[in-house]
Amino acid sequence: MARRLAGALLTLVGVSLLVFFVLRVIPGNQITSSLGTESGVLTPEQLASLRSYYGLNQPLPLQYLDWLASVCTGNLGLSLRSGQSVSAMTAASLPVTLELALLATAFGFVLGVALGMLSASKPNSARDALGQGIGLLALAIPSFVFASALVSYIAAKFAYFPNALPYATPWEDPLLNIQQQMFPALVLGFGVAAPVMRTTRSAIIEVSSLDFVRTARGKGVSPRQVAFRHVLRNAMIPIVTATGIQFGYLLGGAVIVEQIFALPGIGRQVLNGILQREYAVVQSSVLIIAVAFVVVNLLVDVLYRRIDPRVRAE
Amino acid sequence: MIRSGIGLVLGLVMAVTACGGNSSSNSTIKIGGTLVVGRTADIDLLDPHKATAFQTVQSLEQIYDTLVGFDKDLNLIPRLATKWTYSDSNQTVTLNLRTGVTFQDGTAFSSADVAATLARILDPKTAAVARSNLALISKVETPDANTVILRLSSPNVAVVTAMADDNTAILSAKDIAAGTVDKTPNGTGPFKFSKWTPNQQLELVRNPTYWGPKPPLDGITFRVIPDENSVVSALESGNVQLGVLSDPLAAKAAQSGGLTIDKTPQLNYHVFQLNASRPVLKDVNVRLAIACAIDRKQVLDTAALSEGAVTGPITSPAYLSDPNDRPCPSRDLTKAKAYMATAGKTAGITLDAIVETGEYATAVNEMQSVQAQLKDINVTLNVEILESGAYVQRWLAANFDAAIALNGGRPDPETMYGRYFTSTGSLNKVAAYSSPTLDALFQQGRTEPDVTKRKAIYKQISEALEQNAPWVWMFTGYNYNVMTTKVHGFTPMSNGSLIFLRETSLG
Amino acid sequence: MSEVGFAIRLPSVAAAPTREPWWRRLLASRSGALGAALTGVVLLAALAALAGLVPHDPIVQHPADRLLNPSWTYLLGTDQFGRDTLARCMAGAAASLQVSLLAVGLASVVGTTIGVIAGWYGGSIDIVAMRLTDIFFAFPAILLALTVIAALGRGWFNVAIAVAIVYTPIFVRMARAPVLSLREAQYVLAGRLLGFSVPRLLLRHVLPNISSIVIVQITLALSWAILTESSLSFLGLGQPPPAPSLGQMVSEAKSLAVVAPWTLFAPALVIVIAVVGLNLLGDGLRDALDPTQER
Repeated sequence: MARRLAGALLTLVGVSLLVFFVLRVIPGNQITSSLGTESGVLTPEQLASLRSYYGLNQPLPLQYLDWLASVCTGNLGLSLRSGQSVSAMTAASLPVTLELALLATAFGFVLGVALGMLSASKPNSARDALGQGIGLLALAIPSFVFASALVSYIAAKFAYFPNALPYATPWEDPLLNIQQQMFPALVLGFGVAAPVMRTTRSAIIEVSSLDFVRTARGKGVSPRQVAFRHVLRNAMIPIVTATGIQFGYLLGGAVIVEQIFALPGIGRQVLNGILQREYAVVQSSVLIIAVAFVVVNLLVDVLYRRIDPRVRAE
Repeated sequence: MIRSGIGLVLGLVMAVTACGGNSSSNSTIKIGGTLVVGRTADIDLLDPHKATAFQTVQSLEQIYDTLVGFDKDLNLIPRLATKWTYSDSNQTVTLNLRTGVTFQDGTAFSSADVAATLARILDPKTAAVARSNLALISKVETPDANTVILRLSSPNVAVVTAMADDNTAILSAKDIAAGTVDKTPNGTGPFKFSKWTPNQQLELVRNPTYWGPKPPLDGITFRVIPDENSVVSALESGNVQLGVLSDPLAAKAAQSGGLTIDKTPQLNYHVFQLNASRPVLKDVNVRLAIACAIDRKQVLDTAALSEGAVTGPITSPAYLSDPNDRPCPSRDLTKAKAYMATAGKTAGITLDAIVETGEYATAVNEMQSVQAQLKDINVTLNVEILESGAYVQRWLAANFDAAIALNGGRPDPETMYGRYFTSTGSLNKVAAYSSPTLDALFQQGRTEPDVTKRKAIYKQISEALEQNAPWVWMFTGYNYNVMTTKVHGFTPMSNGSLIFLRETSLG
Repeated sequence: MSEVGFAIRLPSVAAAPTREPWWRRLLASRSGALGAALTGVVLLAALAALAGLVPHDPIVQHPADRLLNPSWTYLLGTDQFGRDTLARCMAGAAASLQVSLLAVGLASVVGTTIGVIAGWYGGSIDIVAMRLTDIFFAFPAILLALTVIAALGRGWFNVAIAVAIVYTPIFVRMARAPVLSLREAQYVLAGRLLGFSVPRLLLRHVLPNISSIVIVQITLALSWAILTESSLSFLGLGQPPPAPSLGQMVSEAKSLAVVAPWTLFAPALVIVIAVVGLNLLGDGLRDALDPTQER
């Protein structure tokens, strides 16, 4: 366990190095030119904070350490356009994406397992083809096509477009919040369902062929009980692991859906930062997402080890 | 019991008289409600003196007042100035200011604020957009709190018209001194600033101390919906009540939704700007070749679904340019190639062109159309598509060879082009062209009081511009204001202004 | 348990004489055949576009023929500039495939090399390689691509680099795992005892045995690359117009969807066909190339 933590920490350091250097590839004057000219909104203190965040005019290793120190003390930089601190922006945007990712993962899990069970119930049959076909289509239809079509159709047909209202957090207006998260979660959930379905299908097929399942069948346990109690339970482990990994991907991968549904999530924060040349925003947001991803993977790993008896025996 | 009874009777009496009173005026205007305006881009800053982006101007003109304004026929009407008189053969303007006006923070409005505002605009350090329109003001006098006297260095008939521009919004002297103009908006207008969530929405609420008629709306929210089709969806669902669209296709889609579509011909013009200060475009023959190679009707047809009209430089109805008054009224490849040959550039040239996304819908399509047409004379466009904010920065710095732009039109050609095409114009860098002839003509136009003679002068300016082709003027399109049936009393303006939201009501 | 119990085929053992060649097995399975067919269609269309065998030039505008319905002249209709949608789809497919092939080619070569070396030598090299892949895996894929584009700027080449950077760690992991067990295989140990040089061992004995895994991964990576490239183009970060790209066509066509729905469906369909085809092909190849699947 301690080894895992140390490994994760090392990964995080590596992530910070990667983020730092990728954005240093941008010619220096791009960063400096964005400081000061149109930054009329920033106070002198904010400008100083931004300068310390970038740590310009210093040798590169020192810049990295300065930047790391800034980040660790909560100075994630500023948006030049609005003067907002990136930490404030992220505190508002990260929960939006987390909620979206959770809903999408839950939906994808349910759909994926259902399709997987359908396929695995009779391998290589029409049912199998159907289940796999749906899963494949869910994977292949680009999310931007699906999302755009969904928005246009529902708004035109039902005069219903909750995402045109300002975003409501779950504690402000839970009903509106669910409506606003519903469709984007649906679109993303389909993408999650595909790999979950595959994992479910192969896990079930594998578990079904194991001795203890045959024994249960032989003992006369009802097929439904066999399916759920014996097979699915034991197949759950790789399924849950696969699902957990998908959740991690959604943290930064929801950007297109966030854009189309105008959800103020952290993916959209990164995208706007790129389009508006806000390098501090991009840098810090990417770092935060990567950190969250590492943490999620670590948790999934821990969970996996806890529930898998084979691993626990190690 | 009796008290409540009397209250009830009193209430009934009041209600009856109120109803009676209202039926004598027009219909019952419902007071209350917040109007949500949907548009595709956010404001980019809060300082009205620096605002160039349409959505920024549209929003800030709700918060701030100018000295004069326009009615829907583009006639000047009083705002913070109730009366203006020219004297000394148009070299002095006396402005009588409105009394009893306060800023939204409670400070009283007086001539000192006007003086401070004008000083700020005229200060080169401010980089105010309206500076060159007001540059002839050599002295501002404030004999008392309600009078301002402008002494001009030479006669100028357009200076009062110039002050209808939101870029000359009156700020509080206190704010100017404190340097808070670009952080906390504080104006005298009908709505005051409440909250700005960047990239999401700007919220304004009714100004309870507004000097004019009380606006029926409790507030206005300008919401950012990145996609025009999504704006239409939002309108259909009723979550947005007014949508500002530039895409004829989106407007078409809105037709089937039970919405009211108002189509107003614009004063704003779609133009292909050339940067004549760049070596590759210095030769007028190259520019004329480009102007002759572009089929403006085709650009209008393909990029804007023919929704609009081909135009010359001046778009205001009183001084309208004749679009056929140019070296090539329609596309003439022979002439274009001849011009290129004269310039010695038959081998072709390459231009770095910028175009923006997000502010209006047809920009990229216009660029694609122009790009394809210019290939026929070996002119290659390297196109850079920039997000609105990044584009504005490049545009202001004239950091391009060519640019597709949608520029603001004005009722008076002096305020429309004086700042671009005179050597001292505040946007001359962007125009990248001036000449002694134009300087002289503009000066004449500024000072000529006779309307007929003035029209002739601006006709000459228009011709001079077309013959030197610093820019290729393409077309004027339509402003589409799409509303739900709940919106009443909205008057659209041909300059795209939403200033009559102060009279709009919901329900 | 059959005789051939390993997941890796021993090259010195002759294949059973009744074994069919892999491509026949591929085409025998339904998904493999379908996958091959779909991928083949897209590939042919792209090649045709590259060879100039298009009904009309994808970039040339015919403004008089704007927004036409599908007809014999314009099989999939025209867009707002009068450009032929079919030609643009073909050219768009070629562009997407170009970017994806470049990206996946880079990723597979670099990734497999690193993976093989890490698996072979083990020790600190392996640890470092695994740590590096962990770091890259810490980024959700599209985010990493976006970050690279932010640094490098737009354009098809940068998109290819971005996708390559995202997929290289996957190839590293893919290639490394079998190498770990191959290292201990009898014939390999024998080869080492006999003094064969490491490059020879790697190239002649290790590589051919992991090739099936790598090939399958390549097809899956291609399908992902096509989706990512179209997503990035949709966001406006790919090749600027007028060069056709499937994602950008979808983005432009959103507003045309009411008047000209085919301008939206055609490129979307091409993307779907390509991705579905490559996925099915990958699955079919996996079954066809993997001997443990034999019954």
